[in-house]
Amino acid sequence: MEDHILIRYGELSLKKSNRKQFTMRIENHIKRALKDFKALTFEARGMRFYIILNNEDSLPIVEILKKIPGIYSFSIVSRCQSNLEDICKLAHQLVLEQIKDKVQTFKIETHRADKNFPLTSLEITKEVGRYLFKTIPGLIADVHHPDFTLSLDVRVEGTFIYTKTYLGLGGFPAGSIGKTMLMISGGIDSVVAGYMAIKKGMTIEAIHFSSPPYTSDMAVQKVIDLLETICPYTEYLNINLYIVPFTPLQKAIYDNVRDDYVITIMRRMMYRISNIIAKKINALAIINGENIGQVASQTLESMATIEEVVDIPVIRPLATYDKQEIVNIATKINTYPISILPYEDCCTVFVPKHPQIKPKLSSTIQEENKIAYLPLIDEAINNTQRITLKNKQHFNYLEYSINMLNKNTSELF
Amino acid sequence: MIYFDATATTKPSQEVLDTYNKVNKEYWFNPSSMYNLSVICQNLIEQTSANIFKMLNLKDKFIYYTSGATEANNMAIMGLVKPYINQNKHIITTEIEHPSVYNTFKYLESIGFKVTYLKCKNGIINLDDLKASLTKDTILVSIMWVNNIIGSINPMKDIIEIVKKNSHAKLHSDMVQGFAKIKPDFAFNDIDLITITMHKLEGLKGIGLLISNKNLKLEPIIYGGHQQLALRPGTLDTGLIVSAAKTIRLALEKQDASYYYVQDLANYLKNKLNKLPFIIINAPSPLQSPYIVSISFTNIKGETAMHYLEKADIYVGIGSACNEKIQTLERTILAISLDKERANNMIRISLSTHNTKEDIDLLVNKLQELGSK
Repeated sequence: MEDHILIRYGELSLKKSNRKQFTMRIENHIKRALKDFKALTFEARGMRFYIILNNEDSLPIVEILKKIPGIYSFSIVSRCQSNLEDICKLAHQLVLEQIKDKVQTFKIETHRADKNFPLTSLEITKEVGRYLFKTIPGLIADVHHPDFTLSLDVRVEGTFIYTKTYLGLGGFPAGSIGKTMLMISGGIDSVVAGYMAIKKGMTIEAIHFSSPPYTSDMAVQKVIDLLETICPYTEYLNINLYIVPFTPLQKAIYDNVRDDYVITIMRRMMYRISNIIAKKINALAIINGENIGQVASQTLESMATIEEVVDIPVIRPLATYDKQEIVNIATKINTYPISILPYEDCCTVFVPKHPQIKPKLSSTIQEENKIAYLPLIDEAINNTQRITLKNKQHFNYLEYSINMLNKNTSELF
Repeated sequence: MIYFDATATTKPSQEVLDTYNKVNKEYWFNPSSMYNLSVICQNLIEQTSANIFKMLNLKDKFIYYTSGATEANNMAIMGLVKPYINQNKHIITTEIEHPSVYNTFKYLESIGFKVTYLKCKNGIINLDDLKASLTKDTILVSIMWVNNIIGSINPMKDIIEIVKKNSHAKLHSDMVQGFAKIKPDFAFNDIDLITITMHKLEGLKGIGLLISNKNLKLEPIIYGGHQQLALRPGTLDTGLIVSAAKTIRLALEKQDASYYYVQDLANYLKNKLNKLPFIIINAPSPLQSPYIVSISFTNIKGETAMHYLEKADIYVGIGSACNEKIQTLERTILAISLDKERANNMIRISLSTHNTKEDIDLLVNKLQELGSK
């Protein structure tokens, strides 16, 4: 009997002038995310959006909706004609399904949008309540702390009744805010930062620095797996990943600059490259998982010295989070088990014993100028691979690398 | 320099060297390591095998990459018979095999295997002899395709049929001198174990192949890591291995053209040699490889002739370069002629596409000069 899903938008309601644009975007996102459920039909009505199930199973749909930014909440609703007899019958059936022979407390909330309906909200609540008490033994009313709420939404086109409401992801419709470039490492934080950026309505493209042979393709695969985990949250259910070969730069830094400045300068190089690629793809800001005080490169002094090389905003969604808070989100979005797989990334190879936690800009520049880094940056960008990760399509990087290689090695045979 | 010793070895082609160099510059990693660069090397090796399978029309085979034919022959023969030591088993080979087969059989004979050395009066085996010597205890037959001293060609098609029909023995063939030179009248896939080597085909030294039936269980003769199904442990040389695929491809591509060119040269040479009374051509078999022309002097030692030609910058062979001492009587010549003198007085003229008729004229002139001294 559950035949509709009612979707409510949250913060959007505040943005009056852009509202239409926002709701259109989110509706399209929902349709795109649910395109495999062929029987579904959709109906937009003001600030509400209905998915008509047409006998599709609601459970997998619920899971998908939970990942769509901009949805405040949604309910699985049943619909009947707007007359008291039908409303009572349907309410009876839904309550039975809900309580499953257990004693439960409940309350009824009625919203009467159809002002021509002969009874007021209160009267409807009373009538339906009376009917339910009469027909279902063991039902107890509790208007303060009910086990469940039976909601009645009486409208001209029909009455919608539901007992279950799911909280949505919140935030803004994916892609409504603009494009950003996510620096991703494979650790716990950066993918969470990416998730939060998506949730807040940003489109992300990701950039990863890889240092073969010191880091393996397994490390890149890990980043791919992480991004694939957050693909369902994105507007077009995909994320572009730029894989930058960082080894020559990293070696040049390691061989030439003072040990304690290695990390600062390495991060500056990563920022420079991110900045250049961000501009190429029209990204308006850089996102990363930096967290104040977590490691040497994430002190305020380090951030200032490192960020000096870029000319677009750097947004750090996790800047003030405690580690446990980040882990909680990572666990919720299922990236945590992937993040803790033990593959070295290019931040963890060549780590000096005592990195500078208060790098001076003047010393940094002095050290940095020991390297002719501009051609190395160009080389890294020229050799960058761009791959597109898609929801529900696993990207096998090893296979990809080998296929790329085969293209280059056929003349060997 | 005039080089008439391509049976001993050949000069690697530039294409093969390019492959080798490129792999060693870019894919020099240990294929057995875990990182992706190693996987790339493994993949190159797998591609090499896949390419060879395709070129030779092989199915359900495994290619072991060895240091050369000697190792491949040892691996095949020793690996196959090792589980049967002290079980009174019988093995068959010929009296004109390369030392890497012949001496392995001699060793096996010394530790108790019953060995039949098939006679090769005409430079090839007698098929009736083969059939007659097969018993229920025969576990291995090893017969070379093309002889490395006189270029006689064994009837492999019949050999395969007889061994398969009349025994459970596995068939091994040393195909070093025939492979990619002579057009086979049999399928490579029908032979259980095949030995080939690359340096006879303008490939590199240090790389031989043992092509084995996939399900054939061989015992290792050296022990180590898990490489090559643990049969041939040791770090794989990706460069050498990949170069093998290139060597074989190039050799097969020009196999027919080379054959006709060399056959023409061989006929030209033989016609000239036939006019020299002090020279006998050692070519008793019905089928001969044009790549090898073996001759014996009536009154000059092979070694002497070789050095005489060397002074004129002409290089020929005097039998298997793998023989410990060049003075050793050439077993093959002895087998066909039963004549020690003829064996001692033998030189081997190997022909290749790099030789010309002018080269042959110069050679024959020198031989004439030598004979009339």
